[in-house]
Amino acid sequence: MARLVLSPRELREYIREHTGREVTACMHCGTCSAVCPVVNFMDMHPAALVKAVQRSAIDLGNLKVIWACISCMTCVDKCPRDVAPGLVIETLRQLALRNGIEPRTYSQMPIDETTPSILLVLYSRKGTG
Amino acid sequence: MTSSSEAHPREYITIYFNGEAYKVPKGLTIMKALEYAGFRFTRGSGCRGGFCGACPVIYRFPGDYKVRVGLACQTAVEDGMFISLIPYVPLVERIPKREELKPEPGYVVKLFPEISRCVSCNSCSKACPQGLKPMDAIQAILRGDLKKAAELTFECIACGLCSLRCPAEIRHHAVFRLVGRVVGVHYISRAKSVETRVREIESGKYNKAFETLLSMPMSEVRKIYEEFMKTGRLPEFLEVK
Amino acid sequence: MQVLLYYPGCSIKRDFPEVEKASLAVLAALGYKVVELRDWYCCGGFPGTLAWDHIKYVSALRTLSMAYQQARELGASTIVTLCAFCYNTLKQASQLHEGSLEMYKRVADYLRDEFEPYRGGLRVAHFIEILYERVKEVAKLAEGRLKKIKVAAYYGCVLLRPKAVAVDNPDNPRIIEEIIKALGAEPVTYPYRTYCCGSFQILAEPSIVKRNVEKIAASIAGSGAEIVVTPCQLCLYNLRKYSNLKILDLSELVAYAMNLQESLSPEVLRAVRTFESKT
Repeated sequence: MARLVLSPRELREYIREHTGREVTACMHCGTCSAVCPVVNFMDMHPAALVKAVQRSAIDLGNLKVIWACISCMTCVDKCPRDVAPGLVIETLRQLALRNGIEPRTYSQMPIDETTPSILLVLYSRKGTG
Repeated sequence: MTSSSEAHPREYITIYFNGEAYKVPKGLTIMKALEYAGFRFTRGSGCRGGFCGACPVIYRFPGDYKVRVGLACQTAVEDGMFISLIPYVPLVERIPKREELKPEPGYVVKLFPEISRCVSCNSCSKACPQGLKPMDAIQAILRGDLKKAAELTFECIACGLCSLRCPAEIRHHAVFRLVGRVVGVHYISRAKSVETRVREIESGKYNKAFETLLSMPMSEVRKIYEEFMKTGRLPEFLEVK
Repeated sequence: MQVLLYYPGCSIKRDFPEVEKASLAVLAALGYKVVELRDWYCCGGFPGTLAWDHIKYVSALRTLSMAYQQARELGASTIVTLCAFCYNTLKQASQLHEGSLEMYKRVADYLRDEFEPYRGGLRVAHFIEILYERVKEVAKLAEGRLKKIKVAAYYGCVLLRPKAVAVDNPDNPRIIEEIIKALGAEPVTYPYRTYCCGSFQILAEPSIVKRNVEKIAASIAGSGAEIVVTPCQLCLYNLRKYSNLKILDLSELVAYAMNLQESLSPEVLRAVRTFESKT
């Protein structure tokens, strides 16, 4: 995949501008990771991701968590500091998509005549730009 | 003797094409106006009758942000038009064989999963030079109503303007062509009378009558024709029961 | 007779028509006049409402604007939907003008070309909210038909999160259990009632759904439930793919309990009847 490396400052400002949330407020309590139903499939669990956003540059072309997340919003509801890790992940996902980074194509997925519309619509929103 | 241009003085207007201004007579279509200006269409021109979809145009007027669309052969020039001809919209599709066509709406969605990206922005319907509603057709497919989609797009001339404007990059007329074929094969009942007649023809029922007719001299055939037009009656050998 | 506007959603129409049949039968039995929206479009799925993609709000706001016009004509004020995602999307869209004004203004200005954009006045409800509000009538019509069958409710995520659209307390929802009780059955709970099934990942990373569904199924197995109901059709799809649970859409169980057999598919009837014969 293409590389898209962003600095903590760029990420912080992007997230602030588009979600209104402050990643600097995260106190690393780990609740988000504890409630995340797909944490086992992430290369960086939500709390680790927010910490990374705070501290280091991130290559969006090389980040699996943004494609594993299913937007259940449990972490957003539970975060005691309103950091909304789920929205941080959405922002990074949008950035990646808008820069042409997509995890896979439709032809790589098991779509057949019985695949419900809702599955395709949700995947299209999350995985295509 | 006055020349026609003195009796009917021409009104000229200015149109812009590829950034250049051209003075053309008012009342011409965009296609004719550009030919008047000296251009020769070797591409992007077809039936010249509003039917083949070869000549879509987009244009704007100064001071107005709205993008307007039309067919070059059907749209009259107006003063201040900034014109762009759209010769060919890339819409690659594999055409399935008749035997491969399945009746389930999901079959169309499977071949074109990108239609699930539709955000109902309406750009496609705004871009249709024929006044059709591609958005409603795509939405109908998503909800499984192939017949409605086929009805809505029967008159699509496949100009490609809707697909050019679509933010979801949907290949509208490829989808519509597939839907039309699926509906034609699986949803529309066949005219029994046509099927019966084809079987009769294949069985040779009309062969003798045709052979007789074709072997007659033209003068005899003409007599039969004139008699039929006068009285509505045909000779015995042509009344095949 | 109260008029309910009905927003089907593309997946209900194409993929789960049996859920529509059962749900509409139940609503009719409860005395509602259900009118399908004249003009409606795929809601676009709620993930579009999470990032700053204004255009992804267009679909939902367009539907709400057109629904509002029709609502005024009919004297209605509630739109009911059967799909959890449509509910979530439409609900968030219906709150947009109260939240991010900048986002609302951009989307509204885009739609203003076509009609007056929605600015409040409708209530977006999911089918189970209507059921819960009329639970007493549901109980009366069900007449305890389900004879103490043990039923587990699987909520899924989308009806409970984010908080702004939750139909019940996301940590300890009771709404479906109350409905189950009203049907005469015995609700059983288990820890994974609101654990996400994995959603669309069944297409992209199926191992996610396999793992999550196995966890949910194991948890249900330990609860003694004989049948599982869910209000979300995507959960229904995923749970059926990766488990052997006897699982129905909630509307189907309610329709059965309310003696609306004509609205049910043969499979559903078979599934429920095996339990009835036991008691």
